[in-house]
Amino acid sequence: MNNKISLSILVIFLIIGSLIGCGDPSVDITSVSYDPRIVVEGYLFPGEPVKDIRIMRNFPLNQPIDTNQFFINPAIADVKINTTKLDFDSSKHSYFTNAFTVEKGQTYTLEVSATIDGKKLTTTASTTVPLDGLKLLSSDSVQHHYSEEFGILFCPMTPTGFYAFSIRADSAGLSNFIYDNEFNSNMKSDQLEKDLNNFRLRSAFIQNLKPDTLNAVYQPIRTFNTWFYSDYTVIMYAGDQNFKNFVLTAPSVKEFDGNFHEPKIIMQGSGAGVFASAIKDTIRFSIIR
Amino acid sequence: MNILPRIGLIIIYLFFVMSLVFAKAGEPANSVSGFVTDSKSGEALIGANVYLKEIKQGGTTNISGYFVITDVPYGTYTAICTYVGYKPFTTKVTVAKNDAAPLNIKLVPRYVETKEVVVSADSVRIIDKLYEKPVSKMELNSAQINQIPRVIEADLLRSLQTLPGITALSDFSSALYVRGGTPDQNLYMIDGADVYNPEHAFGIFSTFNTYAIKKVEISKGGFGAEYGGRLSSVLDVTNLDGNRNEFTGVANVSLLSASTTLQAPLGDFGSLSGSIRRTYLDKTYAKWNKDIPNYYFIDGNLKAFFDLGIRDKLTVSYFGSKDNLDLKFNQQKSSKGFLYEWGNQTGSLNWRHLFGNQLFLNFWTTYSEFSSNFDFQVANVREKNRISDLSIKGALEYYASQNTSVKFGFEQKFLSGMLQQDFQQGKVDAAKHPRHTMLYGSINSRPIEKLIVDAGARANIFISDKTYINYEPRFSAKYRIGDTYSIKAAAGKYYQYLNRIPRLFFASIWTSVDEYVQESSSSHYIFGMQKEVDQIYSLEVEAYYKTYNNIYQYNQLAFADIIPDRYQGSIPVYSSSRGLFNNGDGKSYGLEFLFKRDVGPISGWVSLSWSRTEYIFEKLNQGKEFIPRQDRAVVANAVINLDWNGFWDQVFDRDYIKRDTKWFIGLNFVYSTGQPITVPASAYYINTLPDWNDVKLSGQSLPGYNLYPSELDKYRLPPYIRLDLSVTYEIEYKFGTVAPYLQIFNAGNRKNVWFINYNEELIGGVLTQTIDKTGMLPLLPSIGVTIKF
Repeated sequence: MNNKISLSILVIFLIIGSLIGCGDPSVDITSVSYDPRIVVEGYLFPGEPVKDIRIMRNFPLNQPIDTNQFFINPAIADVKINTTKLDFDSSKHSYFTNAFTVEKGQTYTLEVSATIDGKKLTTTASTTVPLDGLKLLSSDSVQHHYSEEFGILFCPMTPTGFYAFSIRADSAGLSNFIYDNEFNSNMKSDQLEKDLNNFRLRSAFIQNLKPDTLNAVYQPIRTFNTWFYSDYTVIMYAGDQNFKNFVLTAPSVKEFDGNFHEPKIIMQGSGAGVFASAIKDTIRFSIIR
Repeated sequence: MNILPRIGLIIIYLFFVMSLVFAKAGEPANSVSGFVTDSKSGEALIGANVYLKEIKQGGTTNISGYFVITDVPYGTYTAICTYVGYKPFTTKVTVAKNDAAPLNIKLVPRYVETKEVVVSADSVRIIDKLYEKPVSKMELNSAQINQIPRVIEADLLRSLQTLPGITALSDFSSALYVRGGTPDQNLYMIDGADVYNPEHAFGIFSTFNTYAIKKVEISKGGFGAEYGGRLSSVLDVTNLDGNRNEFTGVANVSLLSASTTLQAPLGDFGSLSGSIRRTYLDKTYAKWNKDIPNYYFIDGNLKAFFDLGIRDKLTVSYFGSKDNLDLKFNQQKSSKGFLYEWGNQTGSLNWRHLFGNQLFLNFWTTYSEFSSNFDFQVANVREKNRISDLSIKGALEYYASQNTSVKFGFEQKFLSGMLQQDFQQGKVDAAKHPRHTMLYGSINSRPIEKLIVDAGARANIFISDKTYINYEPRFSAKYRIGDTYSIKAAAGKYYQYLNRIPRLFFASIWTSVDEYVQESSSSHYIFGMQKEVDQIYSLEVEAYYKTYNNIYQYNQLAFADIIPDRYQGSIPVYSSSRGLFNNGDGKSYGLEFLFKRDVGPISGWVSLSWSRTEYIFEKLNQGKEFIPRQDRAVVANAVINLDWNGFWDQVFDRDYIKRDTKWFIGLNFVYSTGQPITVPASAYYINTLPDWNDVKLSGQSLPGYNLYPSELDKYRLPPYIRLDLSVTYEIEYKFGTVAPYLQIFNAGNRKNVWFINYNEELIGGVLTQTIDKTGMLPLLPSIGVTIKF
């Protein structure tokens, strides 16, 4: 009797396991609630007028995106900085004003109102422009061989503590890609073509440097920053807190195990994206064979 | 340090010492005590029941295999000893004045007979065994662990994931989530020494060699005063002492590793056991396939047991493990890559002494160390991570009378943690040397025949950047309702002073409470019912409610939140846990059913659990309540092992037939509600840096496809379902047995979902978003052979 019970259990689980322990379950995320948001991409630089403030929108997932809908129609948007209404440049799909020049140490508040999908939305953010002082010390336009160790010397002298380097290849294509690189010698051309911008636009970050340091700081350019035999333009930014929070958290909301987490919130209200300020300097170098 | 807490500690200690004195004053003149060992190996058997039939009194063996039955009137009795997997032992014992010679019982393993043990009046019934068992405690032995179908390699922690209330986060992790708790809330011990990060192969396997294990006990909650320092569970692993009678061994070869465990007597005074296991992919496949990284892990242990007389036993134990990865990114080119090695080392010295027949001393000195070294040459990033723990522990068990026993002890830990990271423009240089002093005591009493009460308390003094003093009351009670029923309840308060920074693919970093991180606490409330069914099955039902206060979870935004503690020149140096964790509160509650059969040709268990865990963290999910990722609403497990030949013998009521070959079939089935996940609610395009905004929609992929997450862990993946099967063919030779086996993990090849991927592509001028999924392990057959001699 006992063995009959036990055998029945064994058989039942074998059958259940065989029936449901296979297959390819579908993922249903249709119940995820989509909330329209105003997406802001705006940076202020001291000594320059307000320009290139892009006001966009977000999109529901798993649907084609109409690129004509990328930017919010200026007719239904109201964009202001410190009560100054910004003008729309239709050629660049961005907002600007020549009413004032951005000053270091000043705080600016961006306020955007727009109607998306019939919903009236508002978002705001404030940035305090870093004080001046950042200076690149390395020589300009120096040629380096791939694998050669080199870097960029700079004097921070700003109280921001956060520095971002945009390292971009001026010319990027299949012909000048460094196939014999240290990481992957089997790069296929279609994969390369697909990821070309990821190889072309590289970045590096430094944070929490001593704010009042007078010492020169060395930032190495690694082989994973240079994927083409090309001239490179490096723009270095000494960014404010918003700059840091956006750069360090918004692009990396996906964790290693595939789960997602919230980024640092910069745009209050129904917004996403960044409104930040920075001081910048530029240097160039070349990678040769 | 404040004087009041010290006075409190002294009062607690005096209370227990006085209990001992008073108990001693009333010491009865007669008792039956002794040791229970395995007749073949001489190993002490933990948890065996010894029972005097005529007076219905009994006792259970402790970790040394020692038992005592007190208050026994003079006379001659029938002593019956039972233990799962062994033939019941019956002997006559005479209790006379001044006769206190220990009774040494040698149990014969059941595998030498073919007939199922028939539970009858001359052995302890299942309900009695269940009644003796502490609340929420489960036990497994090496044979049970190795019978469960596995992922290539038999694994202790993965075996435990088949028990109710214990879940895994994915196929790629052996970490245990016990009743809603996180892996850092589990105390892992091997031969009395704590183990930190018991992980091989980036967490896929655990470090415990299953062939070297004698017994595993896991307490899922409500554990007694003798354990502390963690909020959720205790996993206590005891390795083999060694065979005292003859040289024996087990060797196993799987697709991944080769291992052997050897045991030998040390003359008449002891025994020795040792094991070693090493993966061999680096020596075989990696030689031919350059894409396989140069990786291996090795672990081993050595344990010596010294029998220094009937009253003194001494064991010396060492355990070591090491993982080593030497990865070159480009195997075709002698390029840079990274080196990563990590491992554990533990050692323990355990002296057990018997004062008289009723006072038992257990004294340990243990050392445990986990260390890892990482060198990422391309980025010039280096890391050294180490935690060590030197402990002295003592415990006294006093069997005051048949109805009362007292236990008290102390534990002094000298912890040392170190983390050094060197990276461009920054450093981590953290070192801490906290001390943890623990005192505990408990009284086990039977005020009425059907009721057993265990009340105790534990005091903690944890000295780090500041001093923490906490008291932990513990209580449990068991009541026999009827002939086949008993009910149990337990409650307790638990404190934890260590936190872990989990890192996928990298060894976790342990931190202790400091200026920024306070102690965490948890309260457990458990109520259970046990029933013997048809004299051969057991049914256990447990309901629990667990609270968490001030628990810490790694801050995913720590990279942006960390603030340097000092500077070295202009370079920031981080030395505290500031910004590393989010803290909050939570609760877990659930109901578990376990239907089990330990003996006979079909053995195993079927379990069903329903549970819910809720967290509320100020800085997560906008301060709203959320369900953490380890929550599983419903989990069903079935682990069934079939002795094919034995089964048909019983079906046809055949007499014992000596066979040289046997077939064993194993099944492991698991169903669980899908894992909670955070999914994106929408997508948007934005550039990471200001000057990247000149990228056109030109057929190239756009940088800056960003996803905006929805509410934390609000959605669930599809249910996780898996069926594993195993077939073992055992052939008996003169020297021992050879058992080749076939294991099939995920026999149905179900494509369980690990996580969801979100992609976008410009197709024909239209930006198209797609969703696909990354799966867990597919159907994974593996073969191996186990040789016993």
